Amino acid sequence: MPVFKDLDELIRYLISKQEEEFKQIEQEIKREFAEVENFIKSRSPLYSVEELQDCYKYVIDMPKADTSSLKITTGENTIRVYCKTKSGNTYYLKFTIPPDADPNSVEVTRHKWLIVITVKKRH
Amino acid sequence: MSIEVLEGYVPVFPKPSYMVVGIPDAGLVGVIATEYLIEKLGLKEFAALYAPGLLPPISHVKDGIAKSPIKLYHGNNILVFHSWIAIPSEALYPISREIVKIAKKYGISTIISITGLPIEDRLNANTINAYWIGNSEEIAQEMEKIGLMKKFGDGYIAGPYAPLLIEAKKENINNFTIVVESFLDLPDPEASALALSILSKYIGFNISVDELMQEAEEIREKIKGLMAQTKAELPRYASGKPMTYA
Repeated sequence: MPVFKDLDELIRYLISKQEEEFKQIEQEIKREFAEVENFIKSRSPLYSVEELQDCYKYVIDMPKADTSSLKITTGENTIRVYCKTKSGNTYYLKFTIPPDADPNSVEVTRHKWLIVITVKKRH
Repeated sequence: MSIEVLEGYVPVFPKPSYMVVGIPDAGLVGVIATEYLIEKLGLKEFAALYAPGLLPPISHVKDGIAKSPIKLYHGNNILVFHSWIAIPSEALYPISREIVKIAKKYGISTIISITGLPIEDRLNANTINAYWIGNSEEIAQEMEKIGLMKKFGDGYIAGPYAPLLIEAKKENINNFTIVVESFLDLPDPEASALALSILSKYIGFNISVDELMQEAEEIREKIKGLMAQTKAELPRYASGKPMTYA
C-alpha cells in the first residue's frame, strides 16, 4: 500500500482500485457469457483422443469447415477450438487436457480430412 | 419382444444373390459403404424392420417422413440390410436371427458384412489392409482362392457382426465379414471405399469409389449424429475392447 499524506487522495486511490477490480470481473463475466453464447450457437465436432508415449493427440473431424478461420486457445488445463463452416455456422469444442500435458506445447496440423492437435507431455 | 418386417412388396432375386449388411460400428465403415451403395446403384427400399422393446424409439426422418431406421433395399442380385441406428447389444442376437431369416426367405446365397478394425495410429497409415472372417470351411476356401483380402487369422470379433456369423452358420448360409483397418470412433470413408472396391470385385458390379472420397465431406456431416450414438454403444459390445482385434 502506497503512503498518502491526504485522506482524500487515499480514498480516491481505493475507489480507483475497486473500479479496476469491477472492470476485471465485468470482463470475465462478458467472456464467460460469450463462451456460453458460442456454445449454444455452435455445433460440437466429433473428436477422438490418442495417448502416445510423449504426447496426446486430439483428432477432430469438422466436415465443411473453413479452416482459415480455425482458432485454438489454451488455458491452464483446457483447450478451446473454434472454426467457422463454409455455410457460416460455427464449430466449438472445449476439452480438458490431462495434468501431465503441457498447454504451452500445442501444435496444430492437418492429416487427411482431420485437424490434429498435439499436446506434448511435461518431462 | 417381437420383430416385424413390413414389406412394401416382395422382390425376386436371381441366383446367386447377395445380402450386404451395414450396421453402425467401428468407424461406421459398413454403414457408409451401404449408404453409398444404395445411392450409387439406385437400390429400391422394399421393407422396413420394427422391433418394439428391442430397439430404441427412434425413427429416421427423410424428406419430412418418419420411417424405421432399419430398412431393406434391393437391386439386381443384391439385398442391402441398412441400419441408421446403433443396435443395442441386447438386441444383437435377435436382430442377427432376423437377418438370417430374411436371407433365407429371399434365397440369398451369401451374406456379406462390412466392418472396421480399429488400429493404432490410423491417422498416419498411408495404406490400410482388408481381412476376411468367414463362417465355414467352404467360404474360407473361396476367400483364399479369390485372394481379394488377407485371412484375419486368430483373434476375436465383437459387436453386430459376431452373432451374425454364427446364426448364419446354424442355418447353412455362407457369411463372411470384410474387415478393414479404420478409426474406432470417427467416420472413416477411406476404409469404406476399400471395402466397396473389394465388394464390387466379389459380386461383380461397377462402382466409382473415387466419388465416395469426393463426397466424403457431405457423408461425414450427415452421419455425425449416428457416429456419436454408435460411440456410446461401442463399449457395451466388447467391454471396452476394440471391435475386432487379433
